[in-house]
Formats: sequence, structure tokens, C-alpha cells
Amino acid sequence: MAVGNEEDVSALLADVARRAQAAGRTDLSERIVAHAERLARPDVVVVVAGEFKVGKSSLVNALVGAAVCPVDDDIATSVPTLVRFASEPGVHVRRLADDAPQPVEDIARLVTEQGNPDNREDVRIVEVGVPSALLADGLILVDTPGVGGLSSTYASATMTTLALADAVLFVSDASQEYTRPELDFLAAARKVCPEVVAVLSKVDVVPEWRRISELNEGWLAGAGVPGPIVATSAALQLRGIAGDRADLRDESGLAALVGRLRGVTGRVRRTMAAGALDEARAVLGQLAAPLRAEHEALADPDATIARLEEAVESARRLSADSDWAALLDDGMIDLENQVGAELGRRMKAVLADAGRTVGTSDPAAGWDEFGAALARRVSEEVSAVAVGVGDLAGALATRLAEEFAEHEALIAPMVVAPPVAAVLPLAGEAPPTLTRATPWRGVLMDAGWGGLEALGVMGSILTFTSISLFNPFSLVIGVFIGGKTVRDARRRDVERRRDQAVEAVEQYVRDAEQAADRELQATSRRIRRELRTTYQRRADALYRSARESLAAAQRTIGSDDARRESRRRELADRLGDLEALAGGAGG
Amino acid sequence: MTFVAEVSRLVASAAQLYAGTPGRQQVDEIGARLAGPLRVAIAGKVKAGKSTLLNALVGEELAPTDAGECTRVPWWFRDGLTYRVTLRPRVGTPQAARFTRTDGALEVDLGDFDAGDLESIDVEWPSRALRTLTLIDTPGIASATPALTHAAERFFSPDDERAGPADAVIYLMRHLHAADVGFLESFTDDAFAGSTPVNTIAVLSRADELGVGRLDAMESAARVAGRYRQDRRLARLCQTVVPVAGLLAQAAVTMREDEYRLFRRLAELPDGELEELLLSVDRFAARPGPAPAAERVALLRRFGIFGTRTAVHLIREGLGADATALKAGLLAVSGVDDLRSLLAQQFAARSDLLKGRAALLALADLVRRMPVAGTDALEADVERVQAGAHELVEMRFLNALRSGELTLPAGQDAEAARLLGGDGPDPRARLGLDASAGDADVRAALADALGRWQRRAESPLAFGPAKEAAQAVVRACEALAAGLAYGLE
Ligand SMILES: Nc1nc2c(ncn2[C@@H]2O[C@H](COP(=O)(O)OP(=O)(O)OP(=O)(O)O)[C@@H](O)[C@H]2O)c(=O)[nH]1
Ligand SMILES: Nc1nc2c(ncn2[C@@H]2O[C@H](COP(=O)(O)OP(=O)(O)OP(=O)(O)O)[C@@H](O)[C@H]2O)c(=O)[nH]1
Ligand SMILES: [Mg+2]
Ligand SMILES: [Mg+2]
Repeated sequence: MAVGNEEDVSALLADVARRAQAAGRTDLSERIVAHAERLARPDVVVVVAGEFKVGKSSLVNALVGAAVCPVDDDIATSVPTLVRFASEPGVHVRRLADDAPQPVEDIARLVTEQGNPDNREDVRIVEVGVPSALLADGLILVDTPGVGGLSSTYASATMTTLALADAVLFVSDASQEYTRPELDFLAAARKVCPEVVAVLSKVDVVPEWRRISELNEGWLAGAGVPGPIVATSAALQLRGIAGDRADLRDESGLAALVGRLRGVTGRVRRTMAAGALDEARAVLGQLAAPLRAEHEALADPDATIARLEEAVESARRLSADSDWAALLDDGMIDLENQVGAELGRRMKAVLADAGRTVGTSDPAAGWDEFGAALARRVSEEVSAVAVGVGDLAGALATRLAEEFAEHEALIAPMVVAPPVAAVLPLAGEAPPTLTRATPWRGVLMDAGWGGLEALGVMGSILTFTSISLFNPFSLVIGVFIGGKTVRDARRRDVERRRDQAVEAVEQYVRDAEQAADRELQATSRRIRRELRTTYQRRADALYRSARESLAAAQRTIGSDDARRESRRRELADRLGDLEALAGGAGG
Repeated sequence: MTFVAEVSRLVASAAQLYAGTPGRQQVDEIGARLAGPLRVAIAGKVKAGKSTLLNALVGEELAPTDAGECTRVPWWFRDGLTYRVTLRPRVGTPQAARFTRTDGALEVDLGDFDAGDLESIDVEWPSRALRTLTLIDTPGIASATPALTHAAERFFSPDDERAGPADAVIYLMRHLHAADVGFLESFTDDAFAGSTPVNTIAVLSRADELGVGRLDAMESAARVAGRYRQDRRLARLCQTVVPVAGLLAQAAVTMREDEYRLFRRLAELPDGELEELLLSVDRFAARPGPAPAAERVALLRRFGIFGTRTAVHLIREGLGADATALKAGLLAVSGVDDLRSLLAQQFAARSDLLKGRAALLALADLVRRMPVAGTDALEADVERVQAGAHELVEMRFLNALRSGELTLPAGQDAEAARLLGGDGPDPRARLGLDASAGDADVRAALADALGRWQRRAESPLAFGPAKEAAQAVVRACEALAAGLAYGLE
């Protein structure tokens, strides 16, 4: 069967699942069904990011054709807002403490700087469901707070989100070419996220937008981000929708952007399809194992039984615990140590820099700024460490997968098929890589999480970098210095104030480090647990396949001669059938 | 002796001490600076609209503006008898440059120089607007091209001179960005040397773009500026924040008769047609409409979509019966009128103080770098004036109040700042009275304030900086009384 399109893939998956079911192997059919479900509704996460006020929320609204995200001339978005498909509109709020549905009208109160200043409500992320055709195939848009704002600890939170996204729409408005902070953000985004789509917004109001677009394309080329820039006007699109006017919708440039988004969705689906087909081949291999065992036993009973006994023993060890579990445990312990050390190193650097600042200025002159800058710096560092956790965990998961592949080859040798990536027909495109573009996505997908679940896992880290889990600096400093004395500007008190400030900074950074360490360790423990469960299931399945193979072989040896020839032919047929199917899944 | 007279005296004695030495030329420069108009630098992030606003203030399109990065060297614009452009290289002697004016803005032939070789470009231009203020256009910060940011930083904090070349700063920012605060802070760090809240005004620039060119855009901008004024971090860095649509101001102040006629024709279009035309810039340029497309494109480029919408709106409302009326209306909308009066009130009225302060810094710096016989005594004199001049004391307390370094008991901050000249040094502004208030009202308010602050200054509960501040306010009131020669019973 040629794997030309998604229907073929899902038909094949259904077929494989049915056969597993028929063979009484629900453990295997469940794995296929999970993949099939994910493929039918994949979570394709696209983050909309950029400087504040460039029109990110407006763009999301224009894309989904509804006023979902609050828009304002002054600073608006303060909490990441996740917009996904739902047949009925609805809002769901994830807080630090709990998750709860909310009335749709409440969104402005929750996600805006005005309604929820400094995120007093401790909202982690708000999920909005809308019945939009664009989102129907699993596309999820994440509107984010602007990165450059004065009180912005958001930039680092956005960066962590990017590490989990399938693509980022980097929005900049047409009023001005890219600035240094924007180029820095682009460069960082390009590193952590597989695809960056540059969007030029508000082209309806800037006469020289074409010039700006050209200038920006020059910068993009320099930064290694592929163009072209998509020029858009959310205002025209929304007007076009409201007044049902095709000319305005055409002029808005949104169609081109939707095209790019479809491209992202397509790429993600193909990668997922490739993963699902790999899984199908592995399952077929295990379904074929008993048949093959029996078939071989008919020809050469002794050698077959010997090989199978060896396979059962190997699978027993795999399932009982053993090398892979040790690999995972050691790897995770190593990871946790490295993370702790890295965090410690970074916090030390923060302390040193803060100490220098305090030592050369009068702290009383700028507590607020200093506290804000300190908090920002701490959250940047934590975010960097969080992204690093992904890199390390990704490397570990890859080693684990390789280890398992060896055992699978021994226990359930199946079709020798070329790697899926080489055969998936992908007209004019680079084949999807199975080592996923970002380690984070890779490790989380290996552990069975799609885009959204991945965001959930990272939620604690996101929260951490956007809202402090520990006391704000202003509180800490208050403990050391009474409010009144802070204002006391006499020079001779400067020395005393510096000492107090150093103490306060130390306390703050220590608290921050502890909280961050706790969060990061909790995240890594969770990854470890999930990886462990996933691979334990795989090992158990392999063990079962090996035992069933051995039993089948032994049964055959005891059977009478007359039926052996017909049985051999039947087995050869059924094996041929499975191999053809596996060939469809991979070659 | 007034503050500025005292500073002049110090400069004169320095001139004698340095006669015949290399330091003499620098003393002369300090003297010239003290005698000349106040130097106001226009600073801000790249593309904040600095050059455009400068043109609006001068009333002519002089400084080059562009959608791409543009100003690479500080440009000085001073009043002069003739039209002259001088290149000042970092090394070597200044040279006259050839220049042309095409399409309004100056085009200067740099000859063999690279922009990076130049310390500044000096433009002498006979202009009434430049008579009271010398304006300096500066390269933008946070540019994608690091060299430009460096150029800006070099201008504001040159290594070899502690006192920067500007007496006051108009800081342009679009939305407040972390880079803006970082920059403002960097030239505010020394309490006395750098800029202080008193000599910095922040402008929320390209204000029409906040409301994305809608007719009510300036109202949005006013709201955002209002929020920034409340921000403690900003209060430490500048006096106030005002929204200005510089492009509209520049275009309005230089509006031509043919442009006015085109606005009229647009205003006469039927409602529906006009609305369609103004929906987007591409439509405005491409749809059939009055006047050839090229003319409309040129109009849009000069006034922007907001300026165009506003001009048509004003005419339709009967507020643009002729070009002069429309121009006045557009200037009022642009916010540049408010900025002008703020400059007059905050900078021009304090000109002597700001210049004198800069001159003192330069003198102190000179005697430290190049001591000659007799400069010890001069240095002591400079320090005495720096510490003692009431105007400077006033300014220091004002800065401390604004920055939050000093807070007074409940509710007294605002009044103290006002009496210290926070809303302008004029007596009525200090007393919080209307410009039209009569002498009797001024007298009454002054007596009232003086009594109140004397009690506060002498209160046994007052101590430390709060007491000193109250004393400074009392002195300010006394100076007011003396200056106005009002008898107080
Ligand atoms: N004319 C026009 N206005 C736009 C367009 N996109 C956004 N705007 C306006 O720009 C302003 C800011 O838009 P938002 O969507 O709130 O921008 P944002 O990037 O989400 O802002 P923050 O969340 O505060 O960072 C609003 O006044 C919008 O109406 C556009 O394409 N054309
Ligand atoms: N809509 C609008 N555009 C403006 C305004 N002021 C300036 N611009 C535009 O912004 C661009 C930059 O203006 P400039 O005055 O050259 O800005 P600048 O700050 O001097 O730029 P650099 O010297 O390169 O740092 C030009 O295309 C102007 O037309 C304004 O008030 N409104
Ligand atoms: Mg927003
Ligand atoms: Mg400029």
C-alpha cells in the first residue's frame, strides 16, 4: 500500500489496530489507537510573539475571525492566551492553584494588564475555545504578552513557550524596520523553535510599508530566517469579515499567512504520521513474531527454540528492570545535578552583578527599577536553565530509544524497511526528520505528549518565569529596610543602605534559586516518570511477544506430521500478508 | 548678584588665569555657551521621529528624515546671519561643507569624510525659532546598527568631558521600552553632572500611531502619556511626558497652498467615497479620486494617514476655512503647541539656570584637568557657588522630590515641588495660580504659602532632609516676594 496521504495512513493504522485486537493484543492496539487519535487531531502549537503593541492580539483575532483576544491602544495582553478549536465558545483558566472554566465575558478581566495588572490573579495560561474553521485541524494559536515592555519579565516566559512550539509568528509593525531588541529576539527564537514566520503588521496605515518590508527582509536574511515576510492588515481583514467584503479580505494579506500556517500544520502532521508508521511497523513486528517462530520451528525446531529462549530471557530482563532503567535513572540524576549546578552558577553570576550595581550607586535612588531588573534577570536565567533541561532530557531519551531498538530487533525481527522519512512522498520538500527539530518537543513526544500536553508539563516553568513563585523583591527589601529609611537620602547613610541592599539581594536570589530548583527538579521528575511508564509498557509488550512466540514454537513441535505442511503454508501466507502491510507502513 | 552673573564672574576670572595657555580657548567656549541660546538635544530610540520633530520645532524641513535609519551624526542647528554648514571632524580642523536643499531637507556633501569620522555637523541657519534655543538632532539608540547607538552614547557622555554638550534634553519615545529607561538612566546617574528630571522632557512621539491613525488617536496617546506620568520610574528621569504627532506638525507648519486645495477637494467627496479612499494607504494611492495619484501619494507621505484624515475632518467641521485656519487646527491637534509652551515654561524660563549649571560643571572640569597658578582658589569658588546658589539648591530638592529620593509628610510633595518651580519658575505657576490671576491673589497666595512652610520648617517634629526641604521652600517663597517686591505684613 502506498502511503500517499493521511487517509491511507489512518486506514493502515486502523487495520493494524484491528489485527492486534484480533490477536488479543490490546496492549499493542492501544498504542496504535493513541497515535491514530493524535494524528486525527494533532495539537499544532503556533506562538504569536513580538514587541508590545505591534498587533499580535489583533492578528490572532483576524485569523480566527472573532474578537477573542482583547485589543487596546495601550498595553493589553499580560497572560499567554491559547486559542483552540471548540464547537462552543468557552474560556478555561489555568491558575497556579487550580484550573477552572470561566464565563467568556471574563477574558478581558483575566488576560489584560488593566484587568489583571502584574497578573495578580496568578493566571498561568488562559485557554479559549472558538468554532473557527482555521483551527479545526488542530492548529492552536498562542497570543503572548509583548516582549519589550518596561515591566517585562514576560520575554523569558515567551522564550520558554517558544521552545515548545511548532512555529512562531514573529510580528513587527510596518512603522519601523527591525530594532536591535527585535533582532536579538529573532535570533534567540530561531535557535529554540523549528520555524519562524515573519509578519509585518498594520500595512493599511503606513505609506512606506513596502520599503520597511524590504529592509526587514535584508535583516532576516542576515539572521538566517527564511522569508518572505507576510504583510498583513488585521484591521482590513476584520472589516472585511464584518462587512462581508472580499476586496478588503484580499487586501489584508491574511490569506498568505493562512497558507504559511497550513504549511506548518502539514509539516507537523507529516512528522507525526512518520512516527505513527514507525509504531505500526514495530507493532506488526510483534504480531508477526509468534507466526514467524512457529514457521521457523517447523523447519528447524532446535535452533528456533534456542533463539526464542534467549529472546525471552532478554525480554524478561528488559521488563524486570535492567539496563535501560538504570540508564534512565543515572541519566536523570546526572541531569538533575547538572541543572542544580548550572542554576547555582547562574545565580552566583546574578549576585556578583547585583553586588557591583549596589556597590557603585545609592540603592535608595532606584529600588523599584533595581528590583524589577533583578527579577527580570533572575527569570531570564531560570528560563535558560529550563530550556537546557530539555536539551539534556532530549539527549537521554534518544539514547533510551536506541537501546530499545536493539532489543526489539532481537525479539521481534521484522521487515527490514528503509527509514520512513526516506519513503514518505513529500513533493518538493525536505523530508521530515525523526529526530525532531527541538529536543524539548522530541523528548516530550517520545514520552507520548503532543504539543498541548507539552505546554502543560512546562506550565510550572512558564509560571515560574512569568510570575514569581517567591516573594517579590520589594517585600524582601522591606524586611531589611523600613519604608521610611528607604527614602532617607542623607549621604552618610549610603554605606548602611548598601549593606542592607546586599543582604536583601542575597536573600532574594537564594529564595529564587530554591524555588527554581524545586520547580525544575519537579519537572525533571515528571519527565522521568512518564518516560519510565512509557518504556515499561513497551518492555512488557515485548516480553509478552517473546513468551507467546516461544509457546507457539513449542506447540508446533508437539503437533502431528500430517497437519504440518498445511500449517506451514498458512503461516507463510499470513506472514507475507503482515510483511506487505509493514512494507506499506515503511517501504 | 544673580546666579548667572556670579557664574559669568567666575568665567571671567578663569579667562584671566588661563590667558596665554591652551586652556584659554576652552574658557572662551564656556563663556560663549553661557552667552548663547540654550542647547536642547533631541534624543531617543532610532526612528522615534527625532529629526521630524526638530523640523516641526524649527518650522522648516531642514534635518533629513527617512523611513530607514537616517541620522548618523549629531547635527547642530543654530541661528546665524548666513546659511552655513560646517563639518567638525573628530581629528583635524572644521571645514565648510557644500550643501543643497532638495525636497525640503538639507543635503550635505561630506566630501572625503565618512559619517563615522565626524564629531558633528554644524548648521547655521537664520531662523527665529532658533534664536532662543539651539537644537541638536542626535543619532538613535537601540539601532540594529551598533555604530549608531555608540554615536548617540558618545554624544551624551563623551569620555573627555564630564559636562555633556546639551543643557537640556527632549527625550522621544514611542512606547516605553526597556531600552528607553536604560538610556535615560545612563545619563542621569550622576546626581549633578548628567541630565536630571528638571532638564529633561519626555515626548510620546509619533503619537498618532498609538491609535493607528484613527481620528481619535491623539486621545489614546494622551491616555498613555497620562499613565506614563504616573510611573515612578519615569518621574525619576524626566519632568513630564507629552504626546506629539511630529509628522503632522512638520507637515502643517510647512503646508503649501496646493496641499490645502487638495484637502478641500477630498473633503467635498461624498461620504462613502471618502471613507473608501481613506480605508488604507494603498487605496488612497491607487483608487480613482481627486488629483493625480502622484499628488495624493505625496500628500500622504507628508501628512500621514492620520494627518490626512484629520485635515479632511477639520475642513468638514468648518475648522479649515482657509489654509491658515487649517494649519492652526492641525498644529493644535498634533500636540506640538503644548510642547512649545512646555519648552518655554520649563526650559526657556530656566535658561540661565540650566546654562549656568552646565558652565559651572565645565569650569570645575577644566580646573581639575588643567590646573594653572591660581586655579585652586577658582576651584573653591566654583564649589561654593555650586553648593550655595539658591537656584541650584532649589533644583536639587526638586529633583530629589521627583525621583522619590525625598518624600515629605502626606500631601506636601506636590505643593513643595510646585513652589520650587516644578511647574515652571514663573510666580503664578509656582503658586498654582492661573496666568491671569491678579496681583492681589498672588500676594495672598504667597503670604499663605510662606506662613505655612515657615511653620513646617520650624516645627520641632521636622528633621533631616524634610526640614531642609521645607527651608528651601521658604527661601523660594522669600525670593518670590523679594523678586516681585511685594510688601508682606
Ligand atoms: N490599522 C490597523 N490597526 C491595527 C492593526 N493591528 C493592530 N492594530 C491596532 O494596534 C493596536 C494594538 O493592537 P493589539 O492587537 O492590542 O497589539 P498587541 O501586540 O497584542 O499589544 P500588547 O498585547 O499590548 O503587546 C490596537 O489599537 C489595534 O487596533 C492593523 O493591521 N491595522
Ligand atoms: N505617523 C507618523 N510618522 C512619523 C512621525 N514622526 C516621524 N514619522 C516617520 O518616522 C520615520 C522616521 O522619522 P525621523 O524623524 O527620520 O526619525 P529619527 O528619530 O530622526 O530617525 P533616526 O535619525 O534614523 O534615528 C519617517 O518615515 C517619518 O515620516 C509621526 O509623528 N507620525
Ligand atoms: Mg495583545
Ligand atoms: Mg533622525
